[in-house]
Amino acid sequence: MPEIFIAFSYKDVLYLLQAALVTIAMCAMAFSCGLPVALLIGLIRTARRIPALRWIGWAYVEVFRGTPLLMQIFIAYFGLSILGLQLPRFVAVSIPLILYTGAYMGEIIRAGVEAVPRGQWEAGSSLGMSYPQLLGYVVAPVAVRVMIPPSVGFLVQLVKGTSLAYVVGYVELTRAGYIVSQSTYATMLVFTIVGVIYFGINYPLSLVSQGLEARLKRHA
Amino acid sequence: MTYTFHWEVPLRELPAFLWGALATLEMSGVACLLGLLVATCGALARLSKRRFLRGAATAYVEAIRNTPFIVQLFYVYFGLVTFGINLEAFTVAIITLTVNCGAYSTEIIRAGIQSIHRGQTEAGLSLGMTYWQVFRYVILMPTLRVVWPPLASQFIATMLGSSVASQISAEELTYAGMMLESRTFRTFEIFFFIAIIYFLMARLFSFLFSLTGQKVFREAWGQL
Amino acid sequence: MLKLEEVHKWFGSLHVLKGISMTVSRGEVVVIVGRSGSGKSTILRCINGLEPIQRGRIEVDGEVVEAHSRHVRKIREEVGFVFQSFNLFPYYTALDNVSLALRIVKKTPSAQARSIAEEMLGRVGLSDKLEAYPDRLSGGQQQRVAIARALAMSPKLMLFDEVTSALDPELVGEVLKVMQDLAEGGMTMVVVTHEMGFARRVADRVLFIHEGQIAEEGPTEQIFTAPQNENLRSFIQSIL
Repeated sequence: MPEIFIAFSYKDVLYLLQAALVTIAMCAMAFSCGLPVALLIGLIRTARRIPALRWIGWAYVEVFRGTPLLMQIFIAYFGLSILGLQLPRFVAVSIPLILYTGAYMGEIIRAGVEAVPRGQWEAGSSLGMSYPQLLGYVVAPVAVRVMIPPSVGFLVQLVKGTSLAYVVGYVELTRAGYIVSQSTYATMLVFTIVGVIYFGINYPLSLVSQGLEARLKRHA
Repeated sequence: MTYTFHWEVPLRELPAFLWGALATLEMSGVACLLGLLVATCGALARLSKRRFLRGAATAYVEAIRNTPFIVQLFYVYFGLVTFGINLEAFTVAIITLTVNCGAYSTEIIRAGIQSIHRGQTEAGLSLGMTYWQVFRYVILMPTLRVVWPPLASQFIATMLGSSVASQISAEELTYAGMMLESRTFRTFEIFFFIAIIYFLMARLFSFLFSLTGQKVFREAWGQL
Repeated sequence: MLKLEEVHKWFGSLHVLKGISMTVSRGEVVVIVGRSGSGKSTILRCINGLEPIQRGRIEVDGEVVEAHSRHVRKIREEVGFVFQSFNLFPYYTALDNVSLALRIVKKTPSAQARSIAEEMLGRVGLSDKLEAYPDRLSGGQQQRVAIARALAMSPKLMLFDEVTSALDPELVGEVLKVMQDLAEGGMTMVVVTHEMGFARRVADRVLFIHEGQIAEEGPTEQIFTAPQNENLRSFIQSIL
């Protein structure tokens, strides 16, 4: 048992915490850049009168939900270098995550928009509102409230998704854990700490999401 | 663009990929079935009156749902090695995948059971049914009907998640791709091709689940 | 003011409106009655472009109504529509519900929009509920806010689609009173309703729709005392 503590020190913990910051940064990047994509996808999926647009949105979502995230990361990462683009590693790894966010959040947005009763749309139209006005004043207040709990739930999914950047060698929390465990042989301890850090990031988010969901159900 | 695509590389290796796909199906299939057993116990534990059971099950579910699968995989793999147990990577993958799928499925089943209104149980009992009859007709079938779509989604997600097992060298589809990649360096073509295989498998299973569900429950679900 | 010429509408293969022609003059109150499914609500929804027509022509004050066109928005600024299920915006107060369209569609300045909204809510008897959210209001109150909301746009024509059908009986009266005041004030109204007493008191003309066609129309008293059409006779008997 004592062998587990060989060569492991507080410096390694700091290293892991730094890597955790990288993880959080990746999430922030993916989520903020993914939201506009999601908005686009979500809205075109509700375009009642243009089936072609609806189909494109559907296809996009199906592709990203029907393939492993690992594959998406591989393909995007190596695909980008094929195109000759020399992007900084952080960006190159964020791109598949951005597209992934676009798909899942796009679904959430679609569900949010569809949660607005048809009658509200008609009332707004009958008052002479244009489509952009309808979206902003009639749909948004209702849809956003509906979308928040699943969005927070998705953030948890995203945090876990960043762990797969490991496979292209990018140093985020999981890769950092691997590196530390290789150099200190305190594998179990290291990965326990890594797990605890992920848990520490995600569990509060999960609680918030569950709490918001319960509150929403009560008010409905 | 100075890159020329060599699509014949993955196409040549189609048999290897098909074996890989079968291995993936085997891995995720076993994990889902075992996971279902775990989930049923877990769901009942979560709904149990005994605080210890409830707490243990909740801890299990939350621990798994809030940590990445790859970390769980490393944990189990290296953990077993540390304690001197040397299992095949494939087996380790199945174990971890079972634990993972079980946690998510627990929540699905729990929600399904809870969605059955208590009043129906009381109605059944008042009609003179035994507890077993109430369970079978009032609880079981409606619960299965409710959990079928989300459970199907979870199983498909588990199958897609099994690709991560390649990182501990478990012999499944993604690993087959990695092996070929290290020989030929045609990363893009290989993984694009493999992604298509995963996609087709996912669609196939979605369709099968939908079809089975319709036959058994006579419900008109869209695609799952 | 309002003209429908040989209007036909299909929902898929279902022929719902079979050649509807009618005119409404300024200041007239026309009530449309008929059995469920006869097409009466559909007529109303076609007038303000919520539903497209396949054949025929609808004109509001000389402007042709074409659903899904950009132009229909302009027409809707002049035509008020009140729904059976109120359709108030749930996260806005009564005051904001009424003033919203004024501000964003007619670009009325905030302060002015607010005072118009207050006045409208006063006209429907809800001056004390300005800051209330819809979920705190009774059905009758919500419907009155909906009427105020439509009125605030100073429409030339008001359309009422079975606005009391979803209300508990004791709340119907307050809404009908508002509508009667509106009619007496000279508003051009087309009302689809089951409330025969209201129709008799307030309508200038009554149209009876049967299976997508106007089976009979005429001055109110004539319709009720001497109905010609057989279907209309049995309809009136089943109501009274």
